Amino acid sequence: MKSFIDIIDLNFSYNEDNNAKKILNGINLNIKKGEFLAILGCNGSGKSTLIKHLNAMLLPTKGNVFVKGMNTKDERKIYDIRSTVGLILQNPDNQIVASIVEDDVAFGPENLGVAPKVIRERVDMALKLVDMYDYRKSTTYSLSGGQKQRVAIAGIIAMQPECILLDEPTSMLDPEGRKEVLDTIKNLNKNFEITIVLITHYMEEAVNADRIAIINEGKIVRVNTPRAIFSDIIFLKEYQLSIPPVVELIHKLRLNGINLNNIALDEKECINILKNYFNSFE
Amino acid sequence: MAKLEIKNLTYIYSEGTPAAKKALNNINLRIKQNEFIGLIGRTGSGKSTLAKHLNALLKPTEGKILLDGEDFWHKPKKIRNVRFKVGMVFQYPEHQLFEETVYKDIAFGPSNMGLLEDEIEKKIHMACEFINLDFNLLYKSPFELSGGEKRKVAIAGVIAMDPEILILDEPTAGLDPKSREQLLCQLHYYYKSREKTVILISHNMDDIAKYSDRIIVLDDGNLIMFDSPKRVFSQIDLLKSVGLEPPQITSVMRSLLEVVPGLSDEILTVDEAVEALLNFVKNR
Repeated sequence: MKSFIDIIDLNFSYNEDNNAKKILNGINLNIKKGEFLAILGCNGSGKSTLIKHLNAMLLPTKGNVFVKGMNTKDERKIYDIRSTVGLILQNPDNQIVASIVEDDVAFGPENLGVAPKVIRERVDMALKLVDMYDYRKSTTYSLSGGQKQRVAIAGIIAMQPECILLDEPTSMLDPEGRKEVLDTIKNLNKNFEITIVLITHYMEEAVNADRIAIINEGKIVRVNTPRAIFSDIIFLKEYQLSIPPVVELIHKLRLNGINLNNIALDEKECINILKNYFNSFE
Repeated sequence: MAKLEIKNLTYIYSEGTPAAKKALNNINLRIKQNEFIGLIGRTGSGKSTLAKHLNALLKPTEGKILLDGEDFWHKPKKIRNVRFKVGMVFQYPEHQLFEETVYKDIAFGPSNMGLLEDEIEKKIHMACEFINLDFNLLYKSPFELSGGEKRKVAIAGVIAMDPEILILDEPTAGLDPKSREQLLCQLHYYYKSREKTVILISHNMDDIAKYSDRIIVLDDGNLIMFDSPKRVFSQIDLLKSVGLEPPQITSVMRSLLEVVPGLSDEILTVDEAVEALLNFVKNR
């Protein structure tokens, strides 16, 4: 796969002076077209600062970020970059601008100067994609958190981006809302080949990614598949990441001499591994 | 005697208008002193409405709430005293920070209680200790702090009032796993060491299962269950019918019943699951 976003020796601090604390400290990372990348790390590790560099909301103090070969520092390219890479933030209430669902979704393409007839098509398409088409005439304030967040995602999709960045999109939602949003993200990635960069504190969301990048104190400490990351319990503990209960269960059983070969990333896998073991036990 | 008693509590939003909606329906609860209570239910089930009643921010449409046997609304002019005794930490409490320094912000509650300066200082130090907030931060502006630190300051502001009952609405939302664990441990320590009552509203069933003595389950304004975590989470079908999931481990163990006969349906934690499975292996 060809590289879609290239991050090269990215350094960032809020002050220009040399002694200022570096929020990002020499980040190198390539994100491939169509990839689903999850970013994990503690509060204050630099995750949100990093993601804001990917659509030119912030510019590197040192180093470069390229989106499809366009340098984010190139002011002439800023509209191209922002229509290629959309950003979804944590609080759904801060991202809704209109009082009717379909008006809200139309806001982005209107600003891009898209023809009204095309806007209509894109709004309908986007709302169907996030499964909110039946609510197109509803008022935005009457929606649940998960529904609002899906409308915000539809607003981004209507601008036809190739990549969507999501900064803890589910942390203000209840379990039902979280599932709705995560299913939407997975659908966009799998069936529409939209590149996804997801910041989350929920390990059960991160296991859906192709790769996980772990950030600590402004540096990337590891990039690997979820299976490889969650196999290394010592590493997870070292960086104070929570260990999903099903991962821990299998791990502890192995420590106690139960002969299990695989690690489980979710409930289904865990049940299968244990069922197989106990079935052959007779 | 119950510390907090809720009798036939019904609440109707916008009563007498076409938009009237019953948010709580004849709730009866008796909560003891020094209990850690989990309050769960899907969005819109009435959790926050109930919490607001316990802090006297809403007045029951019907029924009453008793604190140490005395009706909350017996003397409406003295209702402030109830709010001093029942502290409430709202969702995203850091949005309510407003003072110039962390110290002044935490002092706001105790000052309103009419305490003297040295008493206020003591309360502030006590609160900082409980919430594990660095004393060096006291003279900074709350707006210079990180998200996790702001959250601690906001919670310290309520703990500084030394409430007998502490209610927290999703206090860990948006915190990273480490800060979440720390905060919950500190709340648990506050409840244990000071014999306080804590009521925790959360969507995280693992946290609720781990810390609660008893759990209140609400659905559509009705009280569905009020029982120990083991009893509540063993009712998987009932929980699912009200839009809740048990802790992951509990569901896994339930699915293993067909291959591991005799497995208890009251397993909530990884360690309990490991023990049960190892026992099964040993006894074969």
